[in-house]
Amino acid sequence: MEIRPILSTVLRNPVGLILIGLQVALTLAIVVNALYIIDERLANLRIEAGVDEEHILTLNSAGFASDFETTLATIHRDLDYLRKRPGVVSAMATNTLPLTQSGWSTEVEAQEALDGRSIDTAIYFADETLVETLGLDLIAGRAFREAEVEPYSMDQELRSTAVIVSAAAALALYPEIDRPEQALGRLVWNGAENDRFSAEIVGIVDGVKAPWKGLSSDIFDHVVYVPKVPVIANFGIYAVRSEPGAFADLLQNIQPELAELDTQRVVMEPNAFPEIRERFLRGDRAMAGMLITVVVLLLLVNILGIVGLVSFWVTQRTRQIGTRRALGATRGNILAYFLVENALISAMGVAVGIVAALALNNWLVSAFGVDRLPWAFLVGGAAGLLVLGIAAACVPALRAAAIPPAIATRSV
Amino acid sequence: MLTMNNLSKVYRTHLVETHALREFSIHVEEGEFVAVTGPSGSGKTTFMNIAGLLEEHTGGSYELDGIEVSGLSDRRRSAIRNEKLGFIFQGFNLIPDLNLFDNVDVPLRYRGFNASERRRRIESALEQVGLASRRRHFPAELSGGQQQRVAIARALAGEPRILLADEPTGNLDSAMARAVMEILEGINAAGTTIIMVTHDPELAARARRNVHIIDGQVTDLSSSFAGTPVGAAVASA
Ligand SMILES: Nc1ncnc2c1ncn2[C@@H]1O[C@H](COP(=O)(O)OP(=O)(O)O)[C@@H](O)[C@H]1O
Ligand SMILES: [Mg+2]
Repeated sequence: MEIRPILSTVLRNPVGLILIGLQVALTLAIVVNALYIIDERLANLRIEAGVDEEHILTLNSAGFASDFETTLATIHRDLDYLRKRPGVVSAMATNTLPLTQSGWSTEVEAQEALDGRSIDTAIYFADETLVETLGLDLIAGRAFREAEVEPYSMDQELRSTAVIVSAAAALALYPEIDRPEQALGRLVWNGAENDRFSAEIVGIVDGVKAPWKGLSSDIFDHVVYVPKVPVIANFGIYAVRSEPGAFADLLQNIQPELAELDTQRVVMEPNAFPEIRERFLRGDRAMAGMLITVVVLLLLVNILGIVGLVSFWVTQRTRQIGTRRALGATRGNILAYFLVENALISAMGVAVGIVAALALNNWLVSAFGVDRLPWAFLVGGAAGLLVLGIAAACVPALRAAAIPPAIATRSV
Repeated sequence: MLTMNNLSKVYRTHLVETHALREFSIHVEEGEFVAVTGPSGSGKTTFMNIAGLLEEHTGGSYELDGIEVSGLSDRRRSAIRNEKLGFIFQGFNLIPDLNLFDNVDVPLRYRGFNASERRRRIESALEQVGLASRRRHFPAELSGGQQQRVAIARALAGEPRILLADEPTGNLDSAMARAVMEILEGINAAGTTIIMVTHDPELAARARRNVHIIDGQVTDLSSSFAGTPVGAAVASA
């Protein structure tokens, strides 16, 4: 292999080296970081909400009578209807569901004192049917009892005797425990400084998600259910879980049926949970899609750049190639010459690119809180780009190998 | 050493057929110095290219150093060029980005010699053409005559059986041309067969044997001096 003479030729013509080397370096730096972000976003797409996603829908209704008692009565009548309706497993009134991007959050404490030790958590309203209605994974304790569930209006405190918390919230609240079940029976505190109140943890559910991702906190996994039926001004939100096979029918018919029960209000189109999830993932999908486009374009530019420059070199060196053939080079020798030359240039570009990729990642880490680039991405990206470069160089290199030896005497 | 019998070469494009060589027969003995002359377009380069396995002939037979070359694979032809043949071109054909040492090294690398063998051959070949001290220079730093001497060194380093030179002095002034000719004569004296195309009657006269090509045929065979023991060429009927 004629590596040394090729290397000295490359170094004598630094323009090509700089052009392709820089292009490879920049491509590597950007592509590796973009791929890493894409990978994270695609991982988000596999998020599970912790509920029976395929069979849950929500219904919003507005236009209730404005007094509390009538509204509560309407909610009970609607729930009675929903629970008896064929195809419905269970239904309850709530405020919001995981991944909806809107809901309530608060800080709760493991102790009465407000000394800064607290966690951010999402607050969900639920009744005794919580576990069946959402299909939650209750890993310890019990569901709410009917007697614990109270109506709730906006002007009240969140006081209750019992709460059900997510396993992640339990572990975050009590750093001293190592299994979430150990939080059973403990107290969760809430309320203003001079008006503290607590509730006992009666159940632990696993895997359920908050309505949104916190930017800096871990709120996404922190959930506290309170046994309340929300009576919020004049609208209500129901979560309904269907039997397998009945989902499409419910989605289509439940709205007119409920509307018919009471013509004095408006029942909105139901939201299927898969759509809620889809909306939640839209940003991640868009970001991943955009970055994939950028990566593909960059790689394409890189390929075209290499094909272009190597083609130029082949044309420029036509007579030299013929001469080499006359002096005894086989077609394989000529092919190898251009592939080795390109590999050397790409390798130098990749070396610079690794440094640039780390620098870019450093900046992304400090500016956007992106995670640190794992070595596997860097090594994989570098190897991938080398292989791509050699593959791209193959096209003009094969053309070079086909140049006939007679060119040595026929061209001037 | 080299025998062509009734050889023909036809170039076909979709418009025209050019019969560059017709009923072309020639025999060159080992150790001969053959000067090939003829008008422009008569087929001299075509003959040299076929003789040097740079192109394939379209008819007849061609035997080189005991090997019938018709139908040999490209790989095999490359190997024969590398081992048995040396080329000197009108335009020198040095590789501009390689220094003299690396230029002479090119065919030796294809030969697969190890580094010390290559170094030995390169140094002795450059010595022979008087350019050993310039081995780190690049072609552009040399005069035309010097460049052609490097090309001769490159052709010599592989110790070829035949040296093929197509107008080696065509781009040189007469002083440089004579210097190159002297080197070629020295090489021939040491036993290497040489076939040289030239337009220069003075140089042609210095060769042991003259072959004249007109219109793709060997029409005139003359020896510069009669009674040469190796001038037994076969003319076409
Ligand atoms: N590749 C080619 N394709 C078509 N015709 C060619 C080709 N090479 C040479 N010829 C033709 O063959 C004839 C002989 O050319 P050449 O051997 O180069 O002549 P010379 O070297 O004596 O000047 C000319 O008519 C030339 O035009
Ligand atoms: Mg010619």
